[in-house]
Amino acid sequence: MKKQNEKLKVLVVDDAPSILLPLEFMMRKNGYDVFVARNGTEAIESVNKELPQVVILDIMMPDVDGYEVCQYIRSKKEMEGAKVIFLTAKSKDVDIQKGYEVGADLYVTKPFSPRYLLEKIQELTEG
Amino acid sequence: MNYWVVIGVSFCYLALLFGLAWWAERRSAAGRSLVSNPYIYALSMAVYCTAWTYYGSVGRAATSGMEYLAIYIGPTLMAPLWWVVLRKIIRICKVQRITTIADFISSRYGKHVTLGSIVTIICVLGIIPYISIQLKAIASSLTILTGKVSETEVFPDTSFFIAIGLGLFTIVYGTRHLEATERHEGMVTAIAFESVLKLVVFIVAGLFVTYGVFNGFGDIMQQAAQLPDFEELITVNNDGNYSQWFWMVVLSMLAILFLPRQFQVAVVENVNELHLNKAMWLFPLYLFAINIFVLPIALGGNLLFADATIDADLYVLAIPLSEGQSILSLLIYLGGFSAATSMVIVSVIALSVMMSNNLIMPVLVSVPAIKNRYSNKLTLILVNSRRFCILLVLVLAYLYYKYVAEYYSLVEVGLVSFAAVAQFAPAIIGGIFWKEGTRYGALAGTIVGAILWFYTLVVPSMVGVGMLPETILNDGPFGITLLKPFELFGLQGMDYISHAMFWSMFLNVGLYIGVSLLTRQTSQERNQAEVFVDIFKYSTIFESSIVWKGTAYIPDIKSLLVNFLGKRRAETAMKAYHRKYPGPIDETGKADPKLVTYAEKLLAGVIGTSSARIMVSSVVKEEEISIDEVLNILKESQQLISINNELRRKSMELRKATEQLRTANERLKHTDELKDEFLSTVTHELRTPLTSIRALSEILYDNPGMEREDQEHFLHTIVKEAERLTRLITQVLDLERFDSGKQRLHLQPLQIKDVISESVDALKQLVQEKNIDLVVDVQQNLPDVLGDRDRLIQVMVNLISNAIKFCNPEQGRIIVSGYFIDGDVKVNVADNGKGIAPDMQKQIFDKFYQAHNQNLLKPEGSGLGLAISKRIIETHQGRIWVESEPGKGSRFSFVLPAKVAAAAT
Amino acid sequence: MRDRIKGRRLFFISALFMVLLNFPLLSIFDAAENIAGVPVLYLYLTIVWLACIAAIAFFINRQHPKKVKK
Repeated sequence: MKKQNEKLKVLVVDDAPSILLPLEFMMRKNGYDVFVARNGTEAIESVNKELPQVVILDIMMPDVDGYEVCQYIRSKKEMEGAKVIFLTAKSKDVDIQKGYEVGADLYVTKPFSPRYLLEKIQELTEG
Repeated sequence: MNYWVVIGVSFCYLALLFGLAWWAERRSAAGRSLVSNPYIYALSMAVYCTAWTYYGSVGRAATSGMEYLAIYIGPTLMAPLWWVVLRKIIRICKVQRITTIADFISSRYGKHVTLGSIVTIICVLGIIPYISIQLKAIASSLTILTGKVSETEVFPDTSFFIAIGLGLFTIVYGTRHLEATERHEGMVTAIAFESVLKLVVFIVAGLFVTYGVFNGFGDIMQQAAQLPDFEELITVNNDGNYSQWFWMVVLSMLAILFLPRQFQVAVVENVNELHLNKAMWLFPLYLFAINIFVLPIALGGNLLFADATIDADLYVLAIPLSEGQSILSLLIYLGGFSAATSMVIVSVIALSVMMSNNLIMPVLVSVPAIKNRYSNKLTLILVNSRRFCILLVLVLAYLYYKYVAEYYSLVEVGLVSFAAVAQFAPAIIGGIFWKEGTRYGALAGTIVGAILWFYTLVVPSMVGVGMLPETILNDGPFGITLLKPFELFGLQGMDYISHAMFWSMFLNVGLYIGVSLLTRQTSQERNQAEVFVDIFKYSTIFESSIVWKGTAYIPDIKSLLVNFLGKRRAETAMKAYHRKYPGPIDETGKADPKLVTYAEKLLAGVIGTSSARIMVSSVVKEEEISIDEVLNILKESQQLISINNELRRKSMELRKATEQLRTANERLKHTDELKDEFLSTVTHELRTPLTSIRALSEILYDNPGMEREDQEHFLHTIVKEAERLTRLITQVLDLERFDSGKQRLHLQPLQIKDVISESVDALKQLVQEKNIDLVVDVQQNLPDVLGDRDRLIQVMVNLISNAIKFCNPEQGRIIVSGYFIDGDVKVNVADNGKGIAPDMQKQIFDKFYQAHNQNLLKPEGSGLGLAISKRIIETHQGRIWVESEPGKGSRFSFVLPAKVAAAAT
Repeated sequence: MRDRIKGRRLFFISALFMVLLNFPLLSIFDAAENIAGVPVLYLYLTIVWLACIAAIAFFINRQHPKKVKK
């Protein structure tokens, strides 16, 4: 449905390069405009600069953690309608609950299937 | 001095006392009691020092030598025993609401009316002479002060009015409260004040005589040495017979416990048993202080009045008078007046309570006609009977003074009173320590002792004043020489006090014990005996320690209480009872035995124990109960106490165990938490490479046609991540082995130099890649260390790779050094990185330190390296630590013990 | 228990001074002699009496036996 000229902007946030690698590749392959951030501060900068429609967030990061980044996104007017997906190793119920509480659209635990993640992103952005 | 001035001053003084008492009671009502402290308590005990002490001691010292001191040494010797004896008596009286010594004895022996009244009569007979000498002291001090001629023949004379005046004063003062257990705080305050006054004034008088009239103590001694009877005065007894000294000590020991006024201040007015602690030494100290100047005044008086006929009893007053010191004399008169009045007030109050409770009430309550007719006026009758008794006692004392005491010295008469109360000693001391003492034993001992006292001490004094023919003394009554009062049954060679005490005490104790052993106790008596002797066990559960069987109805008990306590106080008392023993009230209105005991106890506080017993048994139907039953029930209640104690001990142990369990649990929980945290960190750390591997593999699988370059990049990452995974798992297992102590080291002597160079070699490539300046400086000929080669390499690699990671990214510089110091081989790895903040220098050796501190920029690595290094070094008996200055770099160091043998060669 | 120990100590003081302040010990000092101008008996009684009071005060305040240090 999306046209090539209005590429979906996706921001991927994770502090592990080995995880950014597949994510970035996958998104780009799918035709998204991908931005990468290695920590919370970078993520917020990128959010302000690029106003992405989808943000994929790790939670455990040095400096600002994923929850805080999500809260920031939800408080930002320009980011209204943006989808936030947590992609994290934190798999306890309380963590998941907290993720939805701070305003996530989806919570995916690591390790994850790139295929599944892509499907979900499509569902979220088109539905 | 003007007679009326002195009389006026005396009454002003009484008014002052009254004001003081009134003020003290106001304060106590406002909750700021003056009396509730050990000093006032000790001072109130000094009511022991009467006119006998104030005037009589000097008289005795001036005429017969040192034995005046025995009367004060006795109480001093008794004081330490208060902890055992007096504390017990206080506890018994508080628990049972006993207010007089007669009540105490009758209560112990089954609340026996006859015993109580006999004790009362002995008390009254015994104390009246004592009160009379106070009157005498006041009268004669008044005479010598005013110079008014004694009006011995005239009736009514001054001393009569003094007696009546004191009586009225005491009535206003002491009978305002009905219940005798209610402490007389005003009275105690006044008594304490009088004690201070008489002590201070007496010392002032002593100072005046010693330093004003003479030139100090030495001067008096020197001059007195010329007196003909000097030797006699500074020794005890010149015919080598010390029994009088001994008996006076014993008498005063007993007097301090059993004189009604001492019982009143020490037991009834006691606020707190612990006040005894201070009183035990303060009171003897008071006695000591008041005696310091007795000898100087006595000798001084003898010197000054060698030719004059002045009663030695009055030297204290006569000396300043003869020196023209009228103000001082008046003051001294007041001191003596205070000594006398304090004794009279307390004694008369105690005696009046005793008389009304043990002589009048039992008659009133046991005659049904009177009881029914006046049942709601009984309290009024009670108060009035007490007032009447006060006046009666004072009038009797006056008469005794007039007809007998006038002719004897203060001390002679006082000793007669001491001997009277000493007759209670066997029944009381035996009663609180010996359960087998019976009522008949107590009756026999006390009565016979009192008769002997009367015969050997009172009768001779009556002979002396001509009331009885002198032949009784010389030839015995009706010419029977064996019955001569001073040589009873032919016993000769003793002074009269020793003689009287020997016979009365011998027969009293003997009969008490002997008759007790031959007679049986009633069950009620046995019950009281158990409670008295074991009071410290029963005092908290007194109501259940009285065994009682029968039927009583609550309304009857209530109306009894209302009659004697008044409506309001009766209700308060019932409420207090229900608070203490909560439980359902019997629907039929039957009273619990505990309630009966409780009510009887309350009544005892008002009308005395034996009258209370009569009153209670008149409204309840009692059943006979056998001694065995009493003992069994008491045993049960004692068992209950010991079970309770056991329970308390057990529950305390339990509480302690629970506490221990709780801390153990907390410790466990903490360990558990740590373990949880460790596990979740480990899984998190495992998940990252796993995630990467999984995602990359899936992409590779889904995109067979991806570019070769990307493919290679992906595969390379997968391999690296897999390696990382393996490393992590190895490290976790390592750590676990060290933590559980399962890790074995393969120890061998080795050169640390080799370990270092091997490690550096392994990392050479990395160092070169990052363009780091790595300097290795190891001392030559280092001693061997005993170590596990591979493990030590692991440590070195870890430290050096950390240094590589953290050193300055532009101009990295790492120095590795090794040298011998203090018997150890020390290795340093220093970098020029950012350094480590001081508060983190310890924590970095913890597991997953990096992972817990997300604020740190996370470098590659598991966060387990330092933790493992630490464990390896510590297992080698070494030590590892870091020193760092933030901004300049860090230096990790470890020491390993050098192998000494190698070092020596 | 503590009360009992305290009671025994005080009893001991009482018994001890009962002997010190009675026959026959008293007879040693029962002589018409002076020491520094003070009659010996008077001096003896005064000192022992004060000692007795001091002993009572001392023992009341020291009711716990000190624990033996190992």
